[in-house]
Amino acid sequence: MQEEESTQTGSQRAFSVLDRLLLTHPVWLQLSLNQDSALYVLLREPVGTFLVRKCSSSQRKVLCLRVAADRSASSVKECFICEEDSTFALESSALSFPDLCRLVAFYCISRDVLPFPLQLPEAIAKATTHRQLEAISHMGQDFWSAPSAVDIQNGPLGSIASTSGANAQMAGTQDRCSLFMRGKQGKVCFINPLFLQLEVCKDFYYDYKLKFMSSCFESNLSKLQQPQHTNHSASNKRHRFKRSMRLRLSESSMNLSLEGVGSFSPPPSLEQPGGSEGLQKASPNPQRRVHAGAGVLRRTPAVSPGSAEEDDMMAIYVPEVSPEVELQSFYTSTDSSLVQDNETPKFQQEAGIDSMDDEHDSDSEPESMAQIQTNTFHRPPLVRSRGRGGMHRMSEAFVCFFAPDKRLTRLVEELARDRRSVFGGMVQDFLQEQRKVLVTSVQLLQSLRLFLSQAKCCLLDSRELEPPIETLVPENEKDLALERAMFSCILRPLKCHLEKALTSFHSRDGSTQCLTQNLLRLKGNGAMERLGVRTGVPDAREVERVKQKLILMQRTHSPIDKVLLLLQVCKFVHKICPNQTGQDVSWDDFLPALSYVIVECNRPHLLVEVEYMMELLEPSWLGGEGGYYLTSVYASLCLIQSLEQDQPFSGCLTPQVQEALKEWSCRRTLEAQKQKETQQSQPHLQRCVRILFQDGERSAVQTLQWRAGETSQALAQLCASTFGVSDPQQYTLF
Amino acid sequence: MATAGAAGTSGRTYSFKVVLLGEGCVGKTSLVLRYCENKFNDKHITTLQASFLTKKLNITGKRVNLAIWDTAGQERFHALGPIYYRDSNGAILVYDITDEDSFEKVKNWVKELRKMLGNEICLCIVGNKIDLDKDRHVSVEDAESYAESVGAKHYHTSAKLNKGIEELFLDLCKRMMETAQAEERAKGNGASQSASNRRGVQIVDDEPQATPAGGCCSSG
Repeated sequence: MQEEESTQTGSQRAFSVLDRLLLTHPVWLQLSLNQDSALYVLLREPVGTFLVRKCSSSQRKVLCLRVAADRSASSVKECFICEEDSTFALESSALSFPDLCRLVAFYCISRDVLPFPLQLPEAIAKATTHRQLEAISHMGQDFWSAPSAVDIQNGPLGSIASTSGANAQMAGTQDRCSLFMRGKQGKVCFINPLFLQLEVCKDFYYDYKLKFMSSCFESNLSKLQQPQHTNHSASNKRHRFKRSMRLRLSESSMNLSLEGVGSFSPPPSLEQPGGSEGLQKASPNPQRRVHAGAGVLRRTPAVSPGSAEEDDMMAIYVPEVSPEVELQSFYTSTDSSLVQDNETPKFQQEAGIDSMDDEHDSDSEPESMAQIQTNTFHRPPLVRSRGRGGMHRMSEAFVCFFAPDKRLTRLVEELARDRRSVFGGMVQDFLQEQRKVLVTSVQLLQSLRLFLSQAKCCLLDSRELEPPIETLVPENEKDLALERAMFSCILRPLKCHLEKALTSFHSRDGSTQCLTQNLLRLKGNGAMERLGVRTGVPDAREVERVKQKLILMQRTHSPIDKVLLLLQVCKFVHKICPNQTGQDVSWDDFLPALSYVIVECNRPHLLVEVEYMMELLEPSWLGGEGGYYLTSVYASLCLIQSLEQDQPFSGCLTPQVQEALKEWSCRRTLEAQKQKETQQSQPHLQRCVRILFQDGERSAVQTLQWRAGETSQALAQLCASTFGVSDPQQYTLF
Repeated sequence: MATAGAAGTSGRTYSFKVVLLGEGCVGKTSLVLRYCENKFNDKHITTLQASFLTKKLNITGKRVNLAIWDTAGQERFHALGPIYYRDSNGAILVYDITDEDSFEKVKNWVKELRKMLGNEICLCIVGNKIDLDKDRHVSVEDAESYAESVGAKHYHTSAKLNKGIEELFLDLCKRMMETAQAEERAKGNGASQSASNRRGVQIVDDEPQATPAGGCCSSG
């Protein structure tokens, strides 16, 4: 027993500051706190304690740091966080970071513009197991209202402390902390040099050394897994821990959480149904375990997405969430290879369009999706929910340094595939539905847009995204990044299906034929005159370049990327326009030139593309530059379709176009109204409830849907089935 | 594209779409170029030549993003107008004070806009080229009384002398903000209610009737 205990602890030494921050963001990231509450919290904490809140008037994030021991307001320093160009930085600093967690991690180690480095709360800094960190994380805001940070450790740490023979839990904890100050050292934090500016470039390797209690446990590294479970049930019996479920209402931005204590019930029921034993049998994987141990003490180079080191870093966490070993190793291999394939080249053309790599993605996606799905379904609920917020997932997410919004996309996609999350269930149901039903093109796209918006709300409401989006993308890029992520997990799987449906719809109503015919008739044959072109036009080579863009456009699923390509085309036309007149180009110069280029490119498919973009882009974005030029391309197509044989444009649109225009404006108005109504009424119908399940030292958080009118008993039932509790009468909701 | 915000109000930023209508020779393009000069976002296309321009303003502490859409000047492209002006918050209808015909065109646009978009769109009728006042063919009284009769505001500008342009846009923005706020108020009952209930209700009891009632009502 003793030995097993120590093994367990030994395996989890390697939490870097970043890892600790990632796991406990619900504690230090308090965006809903106002200045006074933050002050109130920090004044009860030691100097060096910090939290991040959001200023309600400027809507900017603020790092609040206790700088002096006195109790005046000035003993808390506030430092604004700038979110620009996809990076996060402290206001007066030259250093910027790819995400908020990295920024905070850096300032835990180096002071830079601060008077001294940030100090993690003791409980977080000294936690030794994933489980402890998770338990701390589940406290959220309550962490700060707890009598003292050290007491917090009692729950999770206590069980371990007592196994080492100590009766007094506090004493045990402290002993162990000092024990840690022996042995090897490891690198704790690294920052991405890409995001460092100015003179700091070379010296970014802020080497922070943390001592581990490693030597005495190293020999036991090969026994990392089983002990956890033995220990778990053992400590359960020993401690007869109070059980509780905690309820958080996610519709409030305040981190409202209520905690309570339930009656005790004997543990066996929990040990069996979850299948943790069954899975445990499947999981042992000796190489990986050794691997993991080795990885613990390794230095990680600052930038090497998908490198061997990264793999090791991930493998470290495998023992912690043992039943997931297979799944995790699967993720590790797939994702790091994906990253290598896509991210690096993508970074080089960062300013450009990243839709080209969509091809790779969509090629590899179906299989991996299927595999992940089958894997997911086998996971027992309790274990799954613990794993999902797990360290592995987060670290993996941070492998892709280069594209912050791509990182978000990956996280969201992963969640979308996970039927057990509220968001994933919603998306998967919808995707299945879409593959069956066939409607008209407009209805199809409309229902898609509606769902995209609903899914986005759901994702934010459910708070299932780990780490939260606020730490991943700067505020001003949030909308865009979220939209991209939605497109990726909803439109990408439907790409083929949609293309077929739209194409067949437009050939049935005759619009494709009409356009094809007119394009052919116009091409090269007095097109300039009939379109009213009075500026310069591109030559054959230049037309070919535009054509290539249009071909690329057809390959991506993302309306945003399509519009970006369209903008490139329009920019190109704009450049060519003024050749003859040398004056300012007005609309009357631009549109004919654009129409000419479209005729020369001869791609009737553009019709489908334009409809796709117009219907699927978030309606408010159609007012921007992309919307303007998209509208111009649409106008060009209308113009081309309306040209009658051998006549210049008469000023009359085809009846179909006129009809479509009328319909469009009615529809969009209706849609906007409907959306507003849904948004307002939705909370009445159902909402997401975040449940914290505590059972002894085990805890898990899960978002559930709670429909209006349902009793709390029904909710309790749902909780019981979700967390695999077979004797729900023994538990209560608080 | 990336900078295009939400229409109407999201947080404290308003985004408005304003469409620019009028005959080719009345100087509507130079009017806007004057206004937006040196304030461009150099990403994508937006250059001095572009027909899409943006302007950021700060009006009484509220941020406003203005997107100005240029449209066809030639009569033969008139039919394409609706494609551009749908979903606009405002329209600037420009005529040349020396050209009566261009004022008639403005009247046509006004009719069409009112028919298609109703009263939600803020209309500005702008007599440009006041530097050529000696050749004026549209009388100030006629223009202003017409504007009043259709619920529009009338302005006089000179793109050449940079006169009256700032006032025109500032005034338009204020009016669009008022419209947006009124709209919000009309639809806003639900929203304000939910905002006041943000604090949530603590569930301290698992009595079936007490718990969901407290929770659900609070979600408003």
